[in-house]
Amino acid sequence: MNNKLFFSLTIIGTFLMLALLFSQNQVVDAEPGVQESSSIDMNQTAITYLKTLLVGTKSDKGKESIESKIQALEYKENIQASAMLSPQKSLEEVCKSILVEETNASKQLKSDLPEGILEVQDDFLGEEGYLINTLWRGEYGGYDVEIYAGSLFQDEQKGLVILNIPALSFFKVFYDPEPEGSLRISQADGYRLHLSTASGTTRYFDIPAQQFTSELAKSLSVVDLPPAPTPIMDPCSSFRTP
Amino acid sequence: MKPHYRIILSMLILVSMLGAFFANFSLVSSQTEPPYHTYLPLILKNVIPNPPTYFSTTWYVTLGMLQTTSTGLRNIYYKGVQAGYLTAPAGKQDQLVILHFGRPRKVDSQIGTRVYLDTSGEVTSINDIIIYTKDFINGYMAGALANNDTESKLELGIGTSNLNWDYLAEGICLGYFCTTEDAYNHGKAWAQMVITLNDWVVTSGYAARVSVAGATDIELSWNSAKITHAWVDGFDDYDQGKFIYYNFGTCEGCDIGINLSVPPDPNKDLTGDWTHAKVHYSAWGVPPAWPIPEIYLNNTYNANQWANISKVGVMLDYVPIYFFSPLSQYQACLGSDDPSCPYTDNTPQEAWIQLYKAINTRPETAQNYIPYMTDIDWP
Repeated sequence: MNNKLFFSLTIIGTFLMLALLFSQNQVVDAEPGVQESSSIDMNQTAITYLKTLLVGTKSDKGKESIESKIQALEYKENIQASAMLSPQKSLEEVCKSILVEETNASKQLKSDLPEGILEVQDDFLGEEGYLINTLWRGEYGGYDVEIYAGSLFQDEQKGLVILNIPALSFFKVFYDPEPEGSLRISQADGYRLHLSTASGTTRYFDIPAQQFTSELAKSLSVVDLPPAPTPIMDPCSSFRTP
Repeated sequence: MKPHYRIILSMLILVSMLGAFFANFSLVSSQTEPPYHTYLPLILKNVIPNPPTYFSTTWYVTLGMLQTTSTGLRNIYYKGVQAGYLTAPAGKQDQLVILHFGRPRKVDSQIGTRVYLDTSGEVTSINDIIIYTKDFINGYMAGALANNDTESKLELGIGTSNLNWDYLAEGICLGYFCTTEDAYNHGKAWAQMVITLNDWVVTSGYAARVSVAGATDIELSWNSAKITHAWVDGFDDYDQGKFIYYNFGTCEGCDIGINLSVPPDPNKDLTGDWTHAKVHYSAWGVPPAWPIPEIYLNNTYNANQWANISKVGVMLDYVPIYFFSPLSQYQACLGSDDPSCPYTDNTPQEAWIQLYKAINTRPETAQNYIPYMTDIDWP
């Protein structure tokens, strides 16, 4: 073999090896990738796994912790296994028991919350990163609408309003285009909200246009609301009619 | 080049290549019993399995979700129906869902939570949460049966958190959930609620299909380890050794890289009084705890953090953490203006793969498969 051929083969071989090494694909497709079938009981899989680990556990606290975990999973397994021995409820039976549950349920929250401008605690949307001080609640476009005003938690200079239409799963944040700190709803002219800052300046938020404006009387284009989501049918509806 | 140099060089290259080649590969052996057959050595690179083919939706429970619709049913019932429809077309598709009822709250003597978007200042009591959870389970059963699914199972976590707003905002805990007594009693009430709900599941004839666990979103910046541990101890003392909770929280400040040479320090100071070891205790060390960690960050840091927590546990003589599922927030981020969403919107599959890879980086924390995927959303 001459030098030229030797180096050529070496380089080609090296590239092939590197390609194999860095490939994300299986080199030899001897077995399919591990994937637990949904027919496998997840609980039982976890129990088996933990029991194999228990054998090698030396410390008392480690053993105690893992034995307790296994005990809880086995309890669940036993409950499920016992329940499997009984005949399963049909849809009709489930629906009938739901009707009984409904009459037993004591708390019925209705959508008759107070409307207008309301004070709220600043932690109202704290976990989501917003410091809210006031809200406006009313009806627009046939839907219950809430507007929250305040600022970003991480940057209180960034004033904002949030438009929330629960029935449409619509939750949108609008940042003050000329940020001057937290915004507060001070007044509502129809669907145009007056928003004041700590420094005393005012801007407006138009609900139909979904935007800020610096002028109270300025005409703005209406933005269409998103379509209502397809209602979920109640599987028990046919069993509800007397 | 002289011939003998060429031979030496060839051998060196060959040995190096074989060494590199076998470094990350394992032998294939599908034979479990003798007589064994000998074949030419087949080599197989470590394979990442496919994630589950579906994911469940975990919900932030808002006030609107609890309101009664024109049909006379609450919205949360329809969320249950929707979960039952996950099984379409009919087939066994077990799922793990968490209903996040929000932070702990107590008004007068009523313990419970403040559900999302509730401006009223009222409490959603434990009794209310029981009613709403029953609604969801009823909806699930009806939805699944309407879909001719008589096999799939629902594992339902009833969620709260360790949040005290003043602790998060000002670093000083004020009001409710600032004493170990408050937290312990809340954890106790949560465990008792889980027992009540499981009893109802059995008497309703749903136990072959449904089981209920507690759940808590433990975040290190939301409250101290001392208060949080009081909650988990309260749950542990009253769970009868039979019921569990899912910690679907975060590990902010935990080590973000996996260093195979230098293991994470169990006593590393994190936020407040938290350490790696204290995170491990509330996520796995205490008997009823099972983590469903938030794997939100696109850069794999969250996954690495939880792999490190599992490693810390092994260093403290616990067995490695078994993860039932990661939690992602892809759906919650869709169309969201949350400024963090552009880099925290892992899909369920991305979260799953990140967590799988991270925990399998070290042999001592390896897990063969993660059975579920769940993704949080707003109603």
